[in-house]
Amino acid sequence: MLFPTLDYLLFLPLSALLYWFSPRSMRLAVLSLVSLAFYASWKLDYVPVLLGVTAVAWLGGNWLAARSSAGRSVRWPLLLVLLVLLAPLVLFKYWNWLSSDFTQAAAWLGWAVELPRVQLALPVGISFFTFQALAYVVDVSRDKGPERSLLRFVTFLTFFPQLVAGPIVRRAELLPQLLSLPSLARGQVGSGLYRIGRGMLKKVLVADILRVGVVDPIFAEPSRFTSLELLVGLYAYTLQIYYDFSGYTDIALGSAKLFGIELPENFRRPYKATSVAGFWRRWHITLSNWVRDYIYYPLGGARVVPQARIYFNIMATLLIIGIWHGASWNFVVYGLLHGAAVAINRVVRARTGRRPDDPLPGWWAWLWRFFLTFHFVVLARILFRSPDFSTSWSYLLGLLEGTFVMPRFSMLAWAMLALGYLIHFSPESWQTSLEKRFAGAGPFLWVLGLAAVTALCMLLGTGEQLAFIYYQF
Amino acid sequence: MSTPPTDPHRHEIRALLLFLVLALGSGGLTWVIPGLEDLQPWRQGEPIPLVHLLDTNRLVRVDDYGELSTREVVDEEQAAEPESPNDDFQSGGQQPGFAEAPPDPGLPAPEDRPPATATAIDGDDEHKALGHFFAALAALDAEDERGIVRVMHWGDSTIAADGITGQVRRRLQERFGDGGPGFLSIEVDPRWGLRPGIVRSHKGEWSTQTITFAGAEEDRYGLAGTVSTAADAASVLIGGLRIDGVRQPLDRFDLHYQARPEAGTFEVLPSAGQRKEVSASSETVQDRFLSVSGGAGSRTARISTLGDGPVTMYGVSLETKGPGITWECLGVAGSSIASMLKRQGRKHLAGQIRRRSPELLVYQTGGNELTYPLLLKGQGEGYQQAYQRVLRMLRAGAPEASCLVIGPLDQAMRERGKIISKPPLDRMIAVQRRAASEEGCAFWDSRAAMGGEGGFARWLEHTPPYAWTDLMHLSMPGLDLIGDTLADALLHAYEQWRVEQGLGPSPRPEEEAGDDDDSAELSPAVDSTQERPMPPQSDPPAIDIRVD
Repeated sequence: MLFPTLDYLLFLPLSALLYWFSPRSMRLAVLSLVSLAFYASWKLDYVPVLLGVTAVAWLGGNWLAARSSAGRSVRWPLLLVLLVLLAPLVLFKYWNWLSSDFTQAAAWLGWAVELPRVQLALPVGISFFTFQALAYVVDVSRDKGPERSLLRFVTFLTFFPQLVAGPIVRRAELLPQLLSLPSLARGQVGSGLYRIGRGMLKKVLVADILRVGVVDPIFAEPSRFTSLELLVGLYAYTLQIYYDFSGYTDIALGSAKLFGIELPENFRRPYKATSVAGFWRRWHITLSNWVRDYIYYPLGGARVVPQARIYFNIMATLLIIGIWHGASWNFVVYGLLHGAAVAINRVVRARTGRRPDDPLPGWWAWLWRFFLTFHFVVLARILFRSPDFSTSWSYLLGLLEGTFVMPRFSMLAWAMLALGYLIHFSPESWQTSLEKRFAGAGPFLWVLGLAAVTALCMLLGTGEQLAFIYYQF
Repeated sequence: MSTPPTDPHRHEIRALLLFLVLALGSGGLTWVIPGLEDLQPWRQGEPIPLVHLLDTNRLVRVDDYGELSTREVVDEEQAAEPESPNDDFQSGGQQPGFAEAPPDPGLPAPEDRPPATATAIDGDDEHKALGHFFAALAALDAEDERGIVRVMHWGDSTIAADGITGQVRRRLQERFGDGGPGFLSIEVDPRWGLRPGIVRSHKGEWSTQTITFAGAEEDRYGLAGTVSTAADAASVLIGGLRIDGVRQPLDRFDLHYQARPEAGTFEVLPSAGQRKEVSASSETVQDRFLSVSGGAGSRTARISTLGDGPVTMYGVSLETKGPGITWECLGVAGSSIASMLKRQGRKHLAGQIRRRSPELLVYQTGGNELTYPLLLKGQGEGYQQAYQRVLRMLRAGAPEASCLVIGPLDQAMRERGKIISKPPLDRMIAVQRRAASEEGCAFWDSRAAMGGEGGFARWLEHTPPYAWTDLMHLSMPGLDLIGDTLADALLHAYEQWRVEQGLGPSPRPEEEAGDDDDSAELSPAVDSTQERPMPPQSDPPAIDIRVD
């Protein structure tokens, strides 16, 4: 069930009403059932995978807590639980890639070894709920206490607004809310509806129009297009993926608000960043925080000697971010490129003695840092979007050809490209102020506002039901 | 007495309920209030919300772009099946397509080039429309003269990119010989105009006006609807295609320029010929022509203004020694019958055409004319009259030439997420077909070649995409495909003409030099012993300077 569909627009209020008008003792059960129904709407076969991961994480957490309270080591049991949790992710997402490359490498060495391949559809959102489960288990092993209620834990891991594409929620962010089952706070419904409307606009009017109107045709066969078209296509994809993912996040956060639950923000105008490290502090924030807390810090972070270890830690962290997105060498190189950029940024800062949070000396210093960072991110998107190296290479060569004919994209696509960037670079306070005003406006104006959003989406949108990009991760 | 503060939770629940009631009500209004049909959230026949999620045929899969999709499973064969061309516009009951062409057991019909559909040229049953052109081709086939057969092809943005014209040119030059690039304007807007492969590089500043955006004085926009002026010293290096690593030798450069009071001087320097300096100054505004020999195999010519006054030029035609054919791309983005009628001086255009002495005139606009009130009023009689006036303008410069009207390509719009063909296209095609018939022109339905109604959507879905997402233009591969289909139609009609004229089958059938044949010769050998073809002198322009 995709968010910007009539299905979801009926499912969400029905679920919310069922939730609020159920006895308080039944609300967790209602929430977990509607969440599982939401997941089953994608494909019933996926549900056992989700429930399996949930069960392993809950049982594993309790087992680790029991061992810990008995004063026994949790190191190897933790490793075992993590491996079991990772097994479905590896099997569904990475196995075919690994086995194919292994077979090729073996053939290159003269060994006739062929690993079996699996023909299984990738469960939607598997990377998100697996990482959420991993974080929970690691937290328990760090003496943060397990969740004793299976029902509450199932709700924690399957809460439908964030189930298939995040944000990746940590135990401290959601479990306490499920424990107290909060009531609705003043303005929460209006704020939630605002975020849902904003998310719909981002997804249907900007991301989908850019996807259908610019990005997909160009990436389908980059060699057919001139440099200018490829460049516009790249700027369009950069904007599309942001509006797609942040649009999903808006709808997820808005939907959660209707249940009285607050989820963490995942974006903070990422393309305004003036360094690649800064970009990752603004883009998919919950994933960046996850790898920081569970990969980078455990490796020693920046507090290790020699210096080379720090750079290794940076590269390893960004490599994992890259691979998290998908099973291909494109994502490996994507992660390594970003790691290299962060490392270079650190070298330069070390030479100048500047700290990451130091204010920049002036607008010129901001401008060139912003320009470099933005275009690094834009160019790296070639690897992100292209299905393979060959397409990426073809795209890059096309960009360097220097040929140009004015691209024949629809006026609407051009308008969304311009509007999308304008909104992205507008002051954040405008959005906050608008959200507050909308939340306080009351039901009549909410209906008017959302009716306008719906009408715009229906009249100008592509009309196709296009999945969010991050569902595949 | 103060009222107790409302419980925020209860307040929010009430607000949520009221919102839902209002939202349902406003959604319901779309079924009640006329004019809001497009906003109805659901229509009969569409999948029932939530219930359809139980359908097991609904598969989640990774789509062509690597993204998850929940599109309904569609029978691919059914999806690929092109719809039959719309026959509402047919005049005389004849359907487009070779299946309905006059029976000729000796000539197998060309096959479709999916997703294109083989489409016959219509309205030339007695060969009054295309006979002159076919006779010229037959003369090339007979090798009884080293002539150049010239084809002028006007159009809008679908032509300006030289996709359709480029592909027809390649096909016919492979078949009949390379007559050269033909007429090239001095400058085109690189955003919209293309002429891949040729040399056209500029130095200094040229100011260019087109019939689309106007700005030229005296309604003189030249053969290609594009006129360029250099106020100071500027130049353009112009040359033909690179074939087998070598740029093709050119026999003649024929410059179309404007003489006017206080105009400056320019020179033409062929790479292997003699420099010629000419003053463009005259007492009145006149169109002039300068023919410069390519000498011993010039491959380029540099045309330079000397900066002693403004010089205005329309373009230059480049020809080989022949024998061969030129298929000249005269498209201007955004142009239409309105821009032709409003901005092109009739005598001026006739003089420019007369100078080229073409054997075939091809006219193809319509994409920018779909919203014309003249078209939408009545049966489109006003549009037909205007269209015929344009055809007469063109024919005035070459009354003997054959004439071919090409109907508009399919264009589309979105309606509730579906891409559908623009409704006025049927009417436009019918009207253009009538106009062509009235003026003695043949007609080729390019939309039928796209598979008729719904063609644009199918071409857009193709990989690589054959159409652009602006729902108006075809991509380069799409234009190439239309060009190939047009070439198929012309060659097939020519073969039919030969059989009917008793000339027998063509001595160089298409198959021997088809576009799939790597060994096909792209250009004939240059024979310096032969006389080069000269343009006709029946109606000389104001001043014709020859230096060869």
